[in-house]
Amino acid sequence: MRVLRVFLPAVILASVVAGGLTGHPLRAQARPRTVSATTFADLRTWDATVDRMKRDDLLRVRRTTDDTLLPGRVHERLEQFYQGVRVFGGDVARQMDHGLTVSIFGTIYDGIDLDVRPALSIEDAKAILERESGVALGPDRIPELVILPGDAGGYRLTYRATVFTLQGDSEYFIDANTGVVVLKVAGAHRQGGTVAIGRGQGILGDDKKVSVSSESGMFVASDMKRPPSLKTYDARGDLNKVLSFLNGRTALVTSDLASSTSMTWSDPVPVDAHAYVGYVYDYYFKRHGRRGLDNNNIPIVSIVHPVRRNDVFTAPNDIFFLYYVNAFYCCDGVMVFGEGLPAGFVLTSTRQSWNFLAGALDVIAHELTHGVTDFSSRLISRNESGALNEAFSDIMGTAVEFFYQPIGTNPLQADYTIGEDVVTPGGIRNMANPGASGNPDHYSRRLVGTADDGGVHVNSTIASHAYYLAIEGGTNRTSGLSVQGVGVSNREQMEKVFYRGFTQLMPANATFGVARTVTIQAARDLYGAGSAAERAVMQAWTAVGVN
Amino acid sequence: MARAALTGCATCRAALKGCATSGRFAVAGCLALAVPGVARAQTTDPRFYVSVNAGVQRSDNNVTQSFSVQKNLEDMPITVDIDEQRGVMFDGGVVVRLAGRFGMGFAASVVTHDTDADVTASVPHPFFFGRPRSVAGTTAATRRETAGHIQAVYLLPGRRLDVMVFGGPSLFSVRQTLVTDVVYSESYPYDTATFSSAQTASSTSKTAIGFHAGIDLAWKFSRNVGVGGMARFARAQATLNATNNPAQKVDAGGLLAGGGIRLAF
Repeated sequence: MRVLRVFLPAVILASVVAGGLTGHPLRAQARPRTVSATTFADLRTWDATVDRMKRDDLLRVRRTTDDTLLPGRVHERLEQFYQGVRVFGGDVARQMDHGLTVSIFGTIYDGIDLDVRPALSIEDAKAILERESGVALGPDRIPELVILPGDAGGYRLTYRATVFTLQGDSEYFIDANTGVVVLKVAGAHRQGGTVAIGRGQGILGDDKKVSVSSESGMFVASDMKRPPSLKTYDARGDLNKVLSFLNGRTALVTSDLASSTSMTWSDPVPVDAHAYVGYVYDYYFKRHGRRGLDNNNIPIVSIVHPVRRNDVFTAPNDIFFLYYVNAFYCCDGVMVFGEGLPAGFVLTSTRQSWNFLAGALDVIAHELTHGVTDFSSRLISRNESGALNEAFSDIMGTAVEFFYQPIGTNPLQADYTIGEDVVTPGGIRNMANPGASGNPDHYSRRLVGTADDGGVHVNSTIASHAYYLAIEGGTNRTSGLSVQGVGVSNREQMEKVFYRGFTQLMPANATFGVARTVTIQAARDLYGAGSAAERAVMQAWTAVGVN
Repeated sequence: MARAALTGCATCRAALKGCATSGRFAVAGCLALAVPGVARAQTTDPRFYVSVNAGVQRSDNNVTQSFSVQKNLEDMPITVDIDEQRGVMFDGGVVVRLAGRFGMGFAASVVTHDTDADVTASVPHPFFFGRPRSVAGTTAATRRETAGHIQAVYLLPGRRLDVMVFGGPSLFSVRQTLVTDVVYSESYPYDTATFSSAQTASSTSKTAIGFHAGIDLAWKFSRNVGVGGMARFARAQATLNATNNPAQKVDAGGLLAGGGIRLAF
């Protein structure tokens, strides 16, 4: 077998750049308060606090949604503001039952003392972004003025914007007074670092239907039967077009849609991408009553063939790792699926072959779930909240597999490995045995540091393994603690518990500890205190060292 | 005596009023085409016998359709059951006595039947192979059998009651409502579908040749007029064609029973 001579980067992306949080004195001390109120006394206190902050315009309602599982329940998501400027990461999720508050989770930042009048204009900030990224931004990409709490304390008035480059999408925070880039975060929600390959009518040779439409004598990958617009575009290897679209400079048009001259599609890549996006939408609707990523049927755009496979041998590493052995959710319902490696080639570092990433249902569910998170908890893609973000995507990715596929370890069968249908052998991450893919199965083994944006992919398995244990039961290899899972026949319970916890109760800056609390609360909400579901969740988190 | 009757004798008129005094009445009714036998094989007996009948046809001519149409890239099997056990029959015929008790006749009959067809279909899912949704409903179906019967007749005349037995070939034409497609409604996520209606077509068969046999009894009020009843069994097999359907062989005919007026000349 020929081996593709490429190597994994040692660090996925630097998260803090020159002049960042530790490089400049901060003007005030950031004092986050974690809110986790479920008892009567706590609820009474925090309920009053939240109401007062709303009256004082310190909290603004971002969205109020009816509970799709428990009639009468309403979820209110509030964002923190200071003198009219949003405080990044400051938010509260309040659950109410017929007007009575049931739970409150969130993060509130105290001690903010800033002049919120920026010295730089939006145009100035945009120019800096373009200079820093080397990308010209379209007129719709307007930086948002936000207050950024520092990891080491303090606050800074910044402009926040997302820019898409060859290296992926990055979230920039620019000091609104000095123009210094204080934080740059790899914003793309990617499939870890590595990827695979395959082929068929679907990529793995399975027959499937795709919901398309007819346009000017052609069949195009535009789903007209589901409530939202689901479109799959074929970039035909034109990466510049992809970047231009992702940065809002050009639009994709009908002629860019994946197409076929007959109802029988010959290219398996758009077939799988288009069909699987629909499956994932259906899963969320049928299982959780959710209408798409934003629960309001936001259009979903998928892009396949962002590069040409045959160009892989000359592709720079950045492009290789993003557009060949990766898939990512960009923003606003847009996903890009990597091209994989030519048949017969493997990634040197892992000896894994990578097929078209659109061929894995769990990968597509994973990426779309990032969209769900973006429109619900907005878990920040750094550190523990970022690991929870990735974990939730893996959890839902697996849940979608089990929803559609028979249980098993062969291709097109449901298991707890992520991406195993296209990354062979072994997949990307293993939720049942995280160590098999080099990931921690216990909080004590977590990656500490700035690599991988604070271990967002690496540490995700701590939470996703807890999910696995809560269903299947078993013993954690590190702690030796046993869990009595709810059983495979009650898998749906854990799917709902984690969905509820992560989309409706979870605050943006959550830690593993908060994740434990919100999922326990979700289990109580859905199945009652003392239920088998609650017990399984508690035992699972304890087994992975999250107390 | 027969000629006297044809002139409208008083006895005959009395018979029409229910009088039972006439012993010469020799008209027999036939249901489809049957003509009763001549009372006595005498040259003075009537030569022509006319019958007009109404009645019912019972049969086991249920129509079962089983065919498929393409929906969502898969076959949508459709089955249709049309209950054709009972139809309304109108019939008229004439018999000519040729020699003695033997005669020849012709009768024409029309049987119509309005019923509901039970329709079931398995509608393929728009997103998945092999996950059909079942729908069921009914649609109106009409069947019309038109038949001509050529009869060899044997007459058994009596004083009041004439009897004919008859048989021979029959020619059938069947016009049948057939289901050609199913219209259904569905909405996202399309895991269920609801029967809306069935598309139908009227199919007329080519002429089918069969047979018949039967008996006719006539109660004479006079020499020329009476009432009667008949029973006839007829059978043929016709072929129907309709869009989306394979050629459909259906049985026509069945057991007819009816009654009506009998005239003799």
